[in-house]
Amino acid sequence: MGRLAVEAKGLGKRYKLFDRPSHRLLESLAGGRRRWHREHWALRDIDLALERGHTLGVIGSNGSGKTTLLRILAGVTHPTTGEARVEGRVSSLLELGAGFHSAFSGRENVRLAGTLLGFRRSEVEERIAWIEDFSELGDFFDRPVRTYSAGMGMRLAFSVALAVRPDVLLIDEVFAVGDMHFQKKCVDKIFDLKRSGCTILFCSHSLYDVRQICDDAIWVRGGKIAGRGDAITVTNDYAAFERSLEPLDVEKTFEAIPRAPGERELPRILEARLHAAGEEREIREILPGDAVEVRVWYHNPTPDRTPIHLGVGYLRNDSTLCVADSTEFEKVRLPGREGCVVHRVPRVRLLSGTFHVFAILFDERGVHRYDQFILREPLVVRSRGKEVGLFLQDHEWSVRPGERPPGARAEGDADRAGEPEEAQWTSRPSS
Amino acid sequence: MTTPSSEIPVHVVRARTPGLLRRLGETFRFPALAGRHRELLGAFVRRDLASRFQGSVLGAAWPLVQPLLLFGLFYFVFAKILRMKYESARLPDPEFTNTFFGVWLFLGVLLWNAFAQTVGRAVTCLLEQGHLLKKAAFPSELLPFSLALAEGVVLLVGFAVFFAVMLAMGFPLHPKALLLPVLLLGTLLFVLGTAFAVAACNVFVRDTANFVAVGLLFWMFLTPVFWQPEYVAGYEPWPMLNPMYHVLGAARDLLLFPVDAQNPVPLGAIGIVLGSGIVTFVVGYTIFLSLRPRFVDEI
Repeated sequence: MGRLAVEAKGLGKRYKLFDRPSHRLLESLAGGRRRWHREHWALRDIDLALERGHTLGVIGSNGSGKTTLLRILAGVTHPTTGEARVEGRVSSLLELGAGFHSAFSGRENVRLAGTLLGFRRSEVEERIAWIEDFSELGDFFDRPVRTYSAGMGMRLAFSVALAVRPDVLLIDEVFAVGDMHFQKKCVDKIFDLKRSGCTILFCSHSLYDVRQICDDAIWVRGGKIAGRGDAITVTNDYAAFERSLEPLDVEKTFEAIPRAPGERELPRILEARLHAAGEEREIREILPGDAVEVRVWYHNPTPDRTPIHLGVGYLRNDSTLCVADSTEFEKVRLPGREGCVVHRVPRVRLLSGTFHVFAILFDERGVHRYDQFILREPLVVRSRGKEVGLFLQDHEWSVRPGERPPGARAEGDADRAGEPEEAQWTSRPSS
Repeated sequence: MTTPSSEIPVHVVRARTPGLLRRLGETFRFPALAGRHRELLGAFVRRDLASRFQGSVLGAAWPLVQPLLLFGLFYFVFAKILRMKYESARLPDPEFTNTFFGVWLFLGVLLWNAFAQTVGRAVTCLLEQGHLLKKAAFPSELLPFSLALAEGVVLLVGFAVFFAVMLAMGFPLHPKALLLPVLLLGTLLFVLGTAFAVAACNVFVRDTANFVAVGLLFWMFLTPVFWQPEYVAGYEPWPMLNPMYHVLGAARDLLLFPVDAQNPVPLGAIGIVLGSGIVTFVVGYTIFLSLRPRFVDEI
């Protein structure tokens, strides 16, 4: 066990970009004496080691080099540096629907596509009935591909790639087309292949699919591996990074609250910090369930004339306001000219992400704001579970087998129309 | 490269492209490569023929109709309008010359057409089939080669018509006609070498396709397709540097002319065709192999 199905060392791919076609000719005639091109490294220093039967997700934004990596592994294009070794039959879905000849029927195209993937004609013929069935094209299977919709072409391509029982399957962005029903069939089939020991490289923008299908993942950014590890951690890191690219609009969050009328010296926030609850160490990175506290030091020059309240909130880095509490809501008083307010969260429920912590100083009714403060360092939450979204909610599941919706009549089987079985409660300890 | 076999295939991709000598050596492994991918080649050839003829009203008759129409055109223009005749001391019976010119022209048109079609279509085939190259890992030389094979099939059909016409008109076939396959092999090598070179160049310099289109027209007029080689006496050795000159000359010698003192078996011409075929193939294929690793990046 544990033999490597895919191995790559120092893979790199350089493209030469010429501004004009004539520059290429000039360069080849110059015989290396002068350069006319610019270099673009689509991939650099990629190392991979994928054990047989493992599923690796490849994520990254458009143009990050994912497709180039898959193309090199598929043997379609050559690397500029390094080498890769792939063991077993490779089947790939690199470009959707491409490669089909529009004048020919689905069946004829399947024959060529199968042969192109390196399989014998007899092997293709053996599987053609399965392909016809799996693709659900019906009569269209024997009609020219030009009469197909985009989804039908995709179904055909996918059916061929899955039919040939590959040892290594390379999939690039293919779930984009196709209806829900077919997507589910494909995912089921991929799980089947996975169980039977097929090694899969799965390249997708759907982080949900990557989490569900893949054991591990790599995150490719600018041609390099920006992160690798288990699929959940890597997709979380990637999602947080993507969100941080959107301009953070903290001001907008505050702008909704009108400024308090100006005086010479207004109450203000001196400093705010994030600590592990009750401890002196400041923190930046936590797990869901950890205890944290935000400490805010305020200064109020005229406590009698300008009583104050303090709000503390968490803003995700895509400007989503996650939660905000205020001393005004909960009738906590902030006396004196100076002091420190501690906002303690005994169990953080936020899921993976990067969050900006902020504090706002309000007037006594919580209507106008005197000052605001954003912590310099954002808080990073890393979750280990598969939950997606913003929050981990306390929850429990129960299943009552045999129960029908209220008012629904039992369909004839009187013997089963008795009491529903005892509910089975499974509760998930919330961290 | 994945190979369908019972043991586990391993494919390794490396950054380094083999040196010039290795690439030269690789050209000699082309038959083995073609043999290994014979099913894919078969699929390409069938698809090419089917895409041109399937679904049309005349269907499978097109490979017959095409050379016949071309022949009809040339015959009308050259024999009827220009009143050209085949005049040579090599022909025993002067009464024969008019019909002889017809079959003589037909044979030339058949062979030239096969050559020009293959080269003319090969030049753009890598770009046209780029979607396949980007999608599946297979040796891209199979694409121009399958074009040559498909044109070969069309040529064979044309030959069948040609022989039928010949026999119907009472032309005798001589035993030296058995040398025709050797001549065709040499021609195939020459065609392939040319096709490989232009196909590879066109990926990087797209002007190649336009150049080839014009070049083939020039080449046709500089080859004795519809004029007799005797007409260029005095221009030696220039017309003889063209391998197609020898291909057409040898084919006509083998199939049309009687065996006598005037018409020796054209062993010299066949030798030239074979020799130039091998050289062209090795050079053209080496160019192709040198550029092949970068094809997909440029398509």
